Amino acid sequence: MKYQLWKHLLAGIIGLASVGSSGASQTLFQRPDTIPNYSAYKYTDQCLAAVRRTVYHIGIKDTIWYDTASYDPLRNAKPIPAEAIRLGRLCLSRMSVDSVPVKEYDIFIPVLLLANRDDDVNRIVHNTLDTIASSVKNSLFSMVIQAYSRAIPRRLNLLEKLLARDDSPYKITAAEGGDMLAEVLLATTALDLGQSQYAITVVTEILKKDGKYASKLPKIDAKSMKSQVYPLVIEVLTDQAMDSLAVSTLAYRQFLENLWNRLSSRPFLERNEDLAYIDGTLPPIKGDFWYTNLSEEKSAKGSTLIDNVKKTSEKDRPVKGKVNAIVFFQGGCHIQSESVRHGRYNGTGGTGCWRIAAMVNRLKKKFPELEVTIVSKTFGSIGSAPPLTPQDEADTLAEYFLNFYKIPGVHVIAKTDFVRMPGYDRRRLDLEVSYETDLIVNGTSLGHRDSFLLVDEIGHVFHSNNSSPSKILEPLLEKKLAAVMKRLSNVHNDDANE
Amino acid sequence: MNISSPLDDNIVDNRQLADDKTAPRIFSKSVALEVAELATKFTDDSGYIKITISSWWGGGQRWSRNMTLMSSDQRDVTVKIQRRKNGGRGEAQTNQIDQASLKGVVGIADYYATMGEGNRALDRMMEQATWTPLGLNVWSDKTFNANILNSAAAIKRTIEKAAGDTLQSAGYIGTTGSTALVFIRDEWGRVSTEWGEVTEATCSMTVRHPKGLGSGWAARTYFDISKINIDAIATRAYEKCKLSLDPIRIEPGRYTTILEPPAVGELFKVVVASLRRRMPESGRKETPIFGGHDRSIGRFYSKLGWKILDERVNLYHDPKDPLVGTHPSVMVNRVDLITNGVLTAAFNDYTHELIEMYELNPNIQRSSFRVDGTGMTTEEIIKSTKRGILVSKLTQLQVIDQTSLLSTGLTRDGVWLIENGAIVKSISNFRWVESPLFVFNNIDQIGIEEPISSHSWSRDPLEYGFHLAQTNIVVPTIKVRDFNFSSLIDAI
Repeated sequence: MKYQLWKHLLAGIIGLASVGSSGASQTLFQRPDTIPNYSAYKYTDQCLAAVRRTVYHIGIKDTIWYDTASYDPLRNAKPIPAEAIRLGRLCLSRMSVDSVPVKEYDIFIPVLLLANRDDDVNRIVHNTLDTIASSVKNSLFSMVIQAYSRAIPRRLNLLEKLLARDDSPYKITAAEGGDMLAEVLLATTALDLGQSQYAITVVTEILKKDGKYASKLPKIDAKSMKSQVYPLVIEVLTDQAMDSLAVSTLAYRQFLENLWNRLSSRPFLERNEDLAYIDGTLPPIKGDFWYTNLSEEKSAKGSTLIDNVKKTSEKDRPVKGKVNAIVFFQGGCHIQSESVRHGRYNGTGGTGCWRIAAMVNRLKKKFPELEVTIVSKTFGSIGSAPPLTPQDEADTLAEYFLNFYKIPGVHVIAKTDFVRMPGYDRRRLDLEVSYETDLIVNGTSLGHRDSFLLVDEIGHVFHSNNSSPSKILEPLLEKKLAAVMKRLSNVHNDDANE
Repeated sequence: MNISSPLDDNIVDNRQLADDKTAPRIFSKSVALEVAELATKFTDDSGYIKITISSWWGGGQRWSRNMTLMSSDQRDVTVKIQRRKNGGRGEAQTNQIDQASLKGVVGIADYYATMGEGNRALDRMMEQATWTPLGLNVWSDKTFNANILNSAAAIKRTIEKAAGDTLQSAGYIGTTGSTALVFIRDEWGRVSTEWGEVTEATCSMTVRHPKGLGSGWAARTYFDISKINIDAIATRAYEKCKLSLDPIRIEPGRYTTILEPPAVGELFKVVVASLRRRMPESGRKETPIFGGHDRSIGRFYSKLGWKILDERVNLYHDPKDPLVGTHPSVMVNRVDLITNGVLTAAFNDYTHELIEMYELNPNIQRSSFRVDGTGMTTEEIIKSTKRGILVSKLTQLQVIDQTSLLSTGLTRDGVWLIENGAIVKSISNFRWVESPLFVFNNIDQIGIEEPISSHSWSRDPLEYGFHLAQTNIVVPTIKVRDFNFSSLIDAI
């Protein structure tokens, strides 16, 4: 015992002495340097990180919530701030461009592009490609193409020069059944820069190639084919699509179908559920509770509705003779927390809901004659409130969509009936509501998912999107809507003239 | 401190309360009501206010190594203010009972209710609540007024008896008394009050050989101290210690085993803790009551309605059962978890109850319960056993696998070998590896149920808060087949 005591005492004394002597040399934690100091950087990755930080911090000063902002198709064509270019050049000024090893190109080339030194980039890339071993050439191509097609602004001219090389693995004028990646890259880059004529030329080349590309493209699988090429083609050929839509919705549908058949070996309807509804006739929508924030009808006596949301007897949806936007909210945007009546929102539903609401509001503002209908159903519960009657829940949902999201239109809510699981379980099993069973367009039932439809004056669906409408589609949607509106006004004018 | 006038403007240090021998130890209903009504005067009439005034007193004596170490007297009063108005929710509490403190604490709750996140769900909850506070009254004047000299004399006898045999004893004898007033004034001005009062007495002791050659343990918790026979508990611990001296070592393996209530309670705790509906029914976790997935309806289901234990097992919680007990301000309903071995209910929280059941009558999880026994005494069970092992207590329990509830632990405070209907020898302790589900499906005989002392928590469903409560588990002695002892251990 005595020995142990002495041992501990000795260890304590030694410990104290060592702490005293090594205290000065102890390394303290230092926060990483986040303020760009361009004269101090030795390596290119430090430059790249610093310039990107600068771009970010300049950018956030005037950032708005982009989810609710309309989509800017030319956002990647805008030059980066001059201050960032100046700092990038400052940082690179002490580095010799030609002495940078190839393995650092993935960092170095983006920095050069940020500093607007395109000539240097072009020179070193081509010089290197001339001298580099053929075994690693393809990977260098791939890396440089990525850098060009992702740089802000996009570098179409550099990309063109690169793809025009004889040793490029991606040929622009590929033979039938060849790789189409080069064309796709050029077209998307051109579209990013707003050079749609260039893109149309490239895509026309694609369409000239008579073949079924989906099964033959080595670099683009079916999934990326769907996500990249098809929207690209539609976007490039918007004018032609609008021409067809001006004729009729049937012509528009046929145009899309023909286009798809040229690009894919798979049947048109099977592939694209969105397009399955197009040109189908939407039956009248059924529901148990009807609300609006537009009409001046008085709410029922004893109703707990707030002032600007009313019960409505106007139950003919879609409205004949007008263009209709039908939005299905099937749970993706269902209110999970309730403080709506007190103007407090606890934040569920996701930004997608805001985006749809903002988009519908924009469309309604631009086209005041658009009839907006929101379709949803009761779920039996809201947030953690005690069980609600369907009427109470419908009241709350109507407030949520019409008042809180401020969607101008009519809100149709179907009452969800349920059965209970047998025995001690007794859980609730929801049954299908009326519009889920009855709303069938072109043989495909609607309403099971969040979806968005545009319906023309005679009840034909001319646009459908099975998920929330993407930002990219919104300008296209506006064009379509404008085309139909224009056609309608022409028809009305003709009628008036007669 | 004069408890009848706690509401003077003078700020009184609550620590003085314990020093004031003339002060009442806990609040009476009239004093609590006076405090509650004053607190409401510091608010406006809007919104909902819930005032919970809990006062408790506790005293006990602790001894160890045949020496008394401590005699205590503790008390406290807590005033908890919960406010909801305009969808906001605020909460604050204090144990300073004077005008300035009450005004301050109400002001803080008001501030949070105004500034905090809104949650109208709670507003509506009071409107449609289907349950009410129980106003539980499990009170014994004998416990609250127990004379410390009586227990001191009992401790002295215990110590003398142990010391006379060169054994050492340690233990605790304590009593508590608590009252709670729940005062609610809702958004519509409706006022309701609930009053609950509970006493509890506990006695727990160990007798051990000074060289660690044997040990015995016994304990009892009950609301009425006059029903706790301290001498009998001491004798039981003493005799168990004497009987467990000089253990022999026998081969580990599967034996017919008689588990006394403290051992059975440990195993049932594991079962009860696993009985939650939400996880298996939302498909997030495979618990022992996970029933599978039904593709036709797209739902996961639990084993509700399945026979999961022996058909003689009936397991339930009744808050009005004085042997089980609960906190006076806790609001829970009776729940029959296992009836004739069939899982007839499982614990359910608000969200699951609301979304899945479209109801608001959840079985909030709780840890105190009762398992029905038969009239058979432990001695009778021993007599009917040809060869087996008697286990006093299981300890150091760890669940190894949550899906099957496979657990491991040690035996403690006495293990004996039974041959031809009689205890023949004390044996060395074991490590065991076993699932309670396996154990309670291999039941041979069930004996008389007894309360065992157990500290646990209860949950107030309305406020999502926890209350510490000394609640009981009432379980019988159970004889099981093929209990798996995996290895010998040296600990006593």
